[in-house]
Amino acid sequence: MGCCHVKNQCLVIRLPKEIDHYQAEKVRRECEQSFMKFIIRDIIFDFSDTSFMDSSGIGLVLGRVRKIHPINGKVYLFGGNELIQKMWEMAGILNLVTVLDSIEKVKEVYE
Amino acid sequence: MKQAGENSNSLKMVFRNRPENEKIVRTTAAVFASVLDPTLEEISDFKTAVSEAVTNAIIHAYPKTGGDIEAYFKREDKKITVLITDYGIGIKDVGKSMQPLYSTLHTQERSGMGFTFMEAFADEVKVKSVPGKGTTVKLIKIIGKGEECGENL
Repeated sequence: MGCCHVKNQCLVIRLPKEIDHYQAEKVRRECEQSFMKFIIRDIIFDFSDTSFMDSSGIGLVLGRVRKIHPINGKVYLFGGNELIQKMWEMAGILNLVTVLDSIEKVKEVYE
Repeated sequence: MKQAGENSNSLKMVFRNRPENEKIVRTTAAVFASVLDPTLEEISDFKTAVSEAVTNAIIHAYPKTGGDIEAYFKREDKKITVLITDYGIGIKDVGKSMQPLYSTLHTQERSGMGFTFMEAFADEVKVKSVPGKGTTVKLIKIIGKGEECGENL
């Protein structure tokens, strides 16, 4: 619970340790709640805690991209071990998102 | 002293098509493979491939009902074979279903990358499906390939 928080119209999603279809659904529901409560323009997915992911994690990102691109928002990815980064690349989502490689850059987005 | 059958093992489990079982099955897969001393990369690749097959069965096989899914693990030396079998609706066009980004569930957030990830993270993927009867996905993973071929491979 409580993986989403909003700051300056930016939704920051701290992803769970394991992102499978079950966990992705939970995160998605929480995101939907944030969208109803706040005005959101950009989204940061924070993979720092995540050690396991399958294609459900890609679905989760793509779903938010579809939501935010029509309103000219941006989706950012941060953190993520080698395997997770390999999956982003394989799924071809890197041209839809911006990867942030340091916490300073994350702060720049929402401050 | 070497026991007969020491280089082989097998395990079968039957579970309901509930999403919370995804973790139980992939964790079991990891434990089953752990006797071969896999690298971290090998174990996460294997878990991801198994997770994709199990998730597919859970999401697609029984769209309106509950149903059972079987997971069978077999180890022969360094080769691990996994069979994920359901007795659900089956796949009409297996070739199409394995194409990247293809998904029949447009309302749900599926990336359509399940089979692509299975093919990337397992050494072999085979699908047998009969519409109305069910589907079996077979995955083969060889553990410890790096040691045999040299670390730079």
